[in-house]
Amino acid sequence: MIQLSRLATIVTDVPSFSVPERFTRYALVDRGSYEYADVEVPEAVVALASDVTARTLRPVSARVLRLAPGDYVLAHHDPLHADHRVEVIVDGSPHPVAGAEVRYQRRGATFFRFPSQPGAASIVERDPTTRCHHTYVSKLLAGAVVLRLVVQLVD
Amino acid sequence: MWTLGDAWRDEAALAEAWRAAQPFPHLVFDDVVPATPVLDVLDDEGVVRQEGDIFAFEASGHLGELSAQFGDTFAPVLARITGKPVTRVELRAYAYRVGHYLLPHSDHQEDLERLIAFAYYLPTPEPPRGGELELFRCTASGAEIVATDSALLIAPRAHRLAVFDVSDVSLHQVREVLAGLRLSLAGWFYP
Repeated sequence: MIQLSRLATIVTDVPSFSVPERFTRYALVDRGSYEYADVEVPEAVVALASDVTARTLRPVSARVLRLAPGDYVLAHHDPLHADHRVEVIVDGSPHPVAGAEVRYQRRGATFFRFPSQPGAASIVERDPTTRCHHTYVSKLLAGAVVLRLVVQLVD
Repeated sequence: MWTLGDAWRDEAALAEAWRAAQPFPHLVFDDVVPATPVLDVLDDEGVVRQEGDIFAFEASGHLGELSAQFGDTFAPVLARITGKPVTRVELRAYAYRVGHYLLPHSDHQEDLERLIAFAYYLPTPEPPRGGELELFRCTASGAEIVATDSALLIAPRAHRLAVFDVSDVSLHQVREVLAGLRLSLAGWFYP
């Protein structure tokens, strides 16, 4: 049976997450420019995603991304997944950052946007054609910090 | 519309400069001034805001007549200088306003026949801060790029023409415009 994945939503008032002390910079600039740190998957995120999607989910990976002015993550740096996984992104930025969004696409067309919204989380059921990108953070926003916990979950 | 000035006379020296240029073949020509101001030609051309994951700018549609004039002038000499069999051009007009950018990419696609890329910078009422063309050096391990490093910045000076090779390692970007307005004609030379 083919499973159709359609849920894409934003949940507010989500518990914050611990910010790692150390990050690694990713700088193959034709794919992305950002810092990352792999972390343990918070149980609260698994529970939240399972509740919202009505699926019994288990964690695959979790990573905190930190973007500064001039940073971005391009769509072709986001691998396709055939397993209809759920992706949760918790915005832990200290302040809203104008124009800093996560955008999801299917077959090149944007179907969902998660604007900068500290304390909120996006929950997206990906299908095998889904890609996402993190938009460019303007250098005009001196001092801006974008912190996102990205959690991958499967049935 | 365009004429080739003294800078184009020594084609052997230009060919050597093209081959030796780092991080990949390119040439920059200043004072490339058309007989008829390009902005007059563009008066009736609208530009539309476009945005994707790697870009935010305003662009016109394909400018057929201007492309033909540009190609007639520069394709023959660039074919001799670069050794690439270019004959025609497709170009568009671009307006980069504050906050606009084009993130790193190579222009190279197997199904397209882009051989040489170019950007020609137009006079603007408020010259831009930022908006440089940035070329990157790619370090490869086999077929995989494992490192990318900034190698060269080319300022978007009015009447400057930058031409550069198109390959899978011709990584470049337009840095974000931080003030002013960056106007250009840009596109590719094809066989």
